[in-house]
This record gives sequence, structure tokens and C-alpha cells, in this order.
Amino acid sequence: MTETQPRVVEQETDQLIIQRVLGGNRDAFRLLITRYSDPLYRHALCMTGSPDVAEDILQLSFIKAYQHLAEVRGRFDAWVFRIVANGCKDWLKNIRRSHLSYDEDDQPSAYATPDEELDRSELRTDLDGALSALPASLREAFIMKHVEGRSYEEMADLLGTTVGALKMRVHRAREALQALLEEKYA
Amino acid sequence: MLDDLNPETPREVRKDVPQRAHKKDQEVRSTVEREVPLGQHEDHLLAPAVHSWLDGELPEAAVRKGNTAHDVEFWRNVNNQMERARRMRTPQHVEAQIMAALPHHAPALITPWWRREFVITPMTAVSVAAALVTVAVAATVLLIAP
Repeated sequence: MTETQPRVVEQETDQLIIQRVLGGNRDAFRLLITRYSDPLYRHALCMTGSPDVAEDILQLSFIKAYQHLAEVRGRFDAWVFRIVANGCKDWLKNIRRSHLSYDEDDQPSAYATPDEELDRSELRTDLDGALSALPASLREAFIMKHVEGRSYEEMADLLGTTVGALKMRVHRAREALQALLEEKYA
Repeated sequence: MLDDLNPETPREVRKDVPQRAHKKDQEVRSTVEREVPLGQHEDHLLAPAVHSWLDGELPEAAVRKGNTAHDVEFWRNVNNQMERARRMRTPQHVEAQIMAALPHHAPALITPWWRREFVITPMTAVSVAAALVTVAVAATVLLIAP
């Protein structure tokens, strides 16, 4: 009960911001960007493995969200998450279709600072590579669980699927990742 | 593992599929479509207890013994690496970029014409009736005229 109360207040605030934007206050949209961009960026970054692509997806998603803001029913954060998640999956589909090699062209290389780049351990690099080898739906489920720390119920709500299906995806993703990395890190 | 992601498919059922069928299937598909090789994946099933621990349903002490100790160590390392990803933040310039790219007009609800509400006033009704009569007369004249 104590956890749901702030959520309700937050959602009311989102609704108020949306009303202000719809009323012509374009700058109010900045509040929604500030509030939700970090988790959305992390999702896009882990899904695509490329900071540049993640930025593009985030930008396009927020523009789409702005254009269709009058159609929001329910939680804004869930709605905009679905836009970003679909953007990531579309990008992954397109990159496969165009037969570009992920390893050659989209390996994370433009991390925020050179220090950050240096800090990336070998395991982290291998982990990114292994994640990129997973099918999009397994990767998405793994990232939502292990990076974003969401509950299966929340994931099911956001992705419109069942808790059982998501557990299966996360379990399969773990096993596949361990299979890919174990030889080196056993 | 290929894109056969039907989560309802029990693992036992998939194990029963002859390996030759998998092999042939893999050969047919292009390298681009190939993802995690199935055979490799099937050899590394994690114990349910490890999954439960990773899902937060069991304490680490419950799995940090026996055969699963090695898996626990591996996943502790992975989770440590994930910690960095959890701290990633949106680069500062992105917010300004998004704001600059937004349309300058306020968003409006775009409703298709067939879903819009039509209000028929007496004036509208008379106008529509008059238009229909005119069209009917014009059509009749055109048909009757030699």
C-alpha cells in the first residue's frame, strides 16, 4: 500500500503534465523526458549495444510520444516504454535484414568517456557480445530482469505477455549466456 | 538457438526432436539468422534453484554449495558487470536534442473521419436534403434527355 501511493501521485502528475502539453505548453514535455529518459536509454543501449543508436531511438520515441500524446490512456511511462522497446526491436530486425555484422558495425565503442571505455572489463565486453547473439525477445527479457531490475509481473504488464512466458525467456537467456561465456570464465 | 521462441514449448519436447533435424535446419538457415547454437545451449541447463536465486526467490546461501556453487560464482560476476549498466544515464545533450526536434504545435488528437461524431442540425439536414434532390434531378434529366 505504501508503495502504490507514490505511484498514483506520480501518475497524476504525469497526467497533469500531459494536460499542460496538450494545452500548448510545449516546454512541459521536458519534464517527462527528464523523468523517464534514463531507464529508456539504458534499455535501448543494452538492446542495441550502440550509444548512438540508443540516442536515436530515444529521440524518435519521444517525438512519436509527443505527436500522439493525446492518445495516452493509462500510464505514460508504460506507453512510452513500449514505443522505445518496439523501436529497438525494429532496429534489430532491420540490421539483420540488411545483413550487417553486429560485431563489425555496432559494437559499443562510443561510451561516454574514455575512462568508461577503459573501465569496461573483458567480461563486460564478452557479455555484451554474448547478449548481442541472443534473439531479441530473450535479450529484451534478460535486460528487463537483470539490468532494469523489473519484476516478472511488471514485465508482463509492459510487454503484454504472461509471467510464465517471460520466466521461460529469462531462463533460456541465462542458460544461453552461460553457455556462451562459461568456457572462458569457468 | 534459433527464433523458435515459443515459451510454452516444454524443454523436454524439444529434446525429443532428432538432432539431425536440428542440424539440417541450421544448415539451411543463413549465418545471419543463426544465433545461439542449440547444441551448446542444451548442455548448459541451470539448476532451478539457481534460477530461483537469480529471481530473488531463494537466498544465496541456499545455492552456494555443491554443484551449483560454480554457477553462483559465475552469476555473481555477471551481476557485478550489470551494475555498471544500471548506472548508465542519458547523455546530457540528448534532452536538448529531443526538445529541439519536437514539432512546434501542440499535439492534437487525430481522429479518423469515420470515428468522428456527426452533429446533425436542422440546417444541415435541410442542406443535405436539398443537395440530394438536386443530384437526383440532375441524374434524371441526364437519363431522360435524348
